[in-house]
Amino acid sequence: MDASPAENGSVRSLKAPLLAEALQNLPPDRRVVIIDMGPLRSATLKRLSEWRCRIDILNLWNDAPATASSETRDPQRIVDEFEETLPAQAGEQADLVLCWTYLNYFSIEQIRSLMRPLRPRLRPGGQIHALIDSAAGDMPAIPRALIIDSEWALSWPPSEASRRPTPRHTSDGLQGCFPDFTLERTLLLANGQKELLLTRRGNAP
Amino acid sequence: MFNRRDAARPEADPPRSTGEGRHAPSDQSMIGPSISIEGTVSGSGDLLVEGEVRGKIELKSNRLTIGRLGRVFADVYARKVCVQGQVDGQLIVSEELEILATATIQGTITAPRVSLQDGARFNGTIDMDPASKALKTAFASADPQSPSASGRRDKTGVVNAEN
Repeated sequence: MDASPAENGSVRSLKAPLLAEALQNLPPDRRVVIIDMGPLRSATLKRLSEWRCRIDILNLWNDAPATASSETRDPQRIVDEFEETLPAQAGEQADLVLCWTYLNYFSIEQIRSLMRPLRPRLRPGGQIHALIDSAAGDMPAIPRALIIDSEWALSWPPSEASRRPTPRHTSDGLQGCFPDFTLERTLLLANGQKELLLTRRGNAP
Repeated sequence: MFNRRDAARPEADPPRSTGEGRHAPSDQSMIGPSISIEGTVSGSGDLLVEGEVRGKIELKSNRLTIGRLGRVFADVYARKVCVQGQVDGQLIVSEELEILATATIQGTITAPRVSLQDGARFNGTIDMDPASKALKTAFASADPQSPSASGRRDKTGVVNAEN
């Protein structure tokens, strides 16, 4: 296994080989479009600025239009309001979606609903990178604030959120949420999470 | 690991934020907290907004600071922008956008360089492609020597507002 968790002060860091592969797949010589399902983070922005890129920040969980605290957000409400919160596509299709741990916080049916408006936003050959909690029995009650750090690993601060059981989505179950995609690879990481890299089928431009 | 664009980047100017609690340079105009403007704000000097602006801000050769109390519901065209307050609209910046932790931005950002403090709230699109169509279109005539570069120029650097 080539991924291992490491402590760096109070911040945890994890090498994510499939993320590195997805980033390597981004063409260096043309404009690229990246969709980040998470909030805007300075370190990630700095890393992605190495490409001529447009980044759509969806901030799926933290800025969901709900009055509840982030730990008591209703995933179904996020799903119901997701499409109307998407930024304008502006005639461009995305090359990469950074989904990270968000799939853990929705049911299979909710993930299918989330992906419905997202699918046409990806170009053929475009990829989705996701992390699911696979081996651990529980996980933070809210999604971790992941960043791409200076070593191109994923880092996150220790979570003070309460814990909740992991949904233990299977790769096959998730695959059904992405009907136009091929599950390229999955990789079990040392901390019990599983990386997924999906590619939208069709002829790449 | 990747380092694709660093070599092509110009050096950043030293920090020169001029919002709440900081000294404003003498060539900077200010829209104070009790002022609300609806229409187009343009000029050839730097501007600090601590009040409210609705419409459009054109400072294509200059720096705009949206202070902690500033509320901008407008499309903004400027050479450099620092956001500490609230923006809802398009930010089109030819050189550098600085987003501080107190900022709340909703809309579309187009800027070849974006620096960010974590804690800022943003929903929307960030376009950092220096060759983006929006940037080229907005700043096609923004040569500082050109009278048309920054809207209505005047010799004093006073910022003009029109409805």
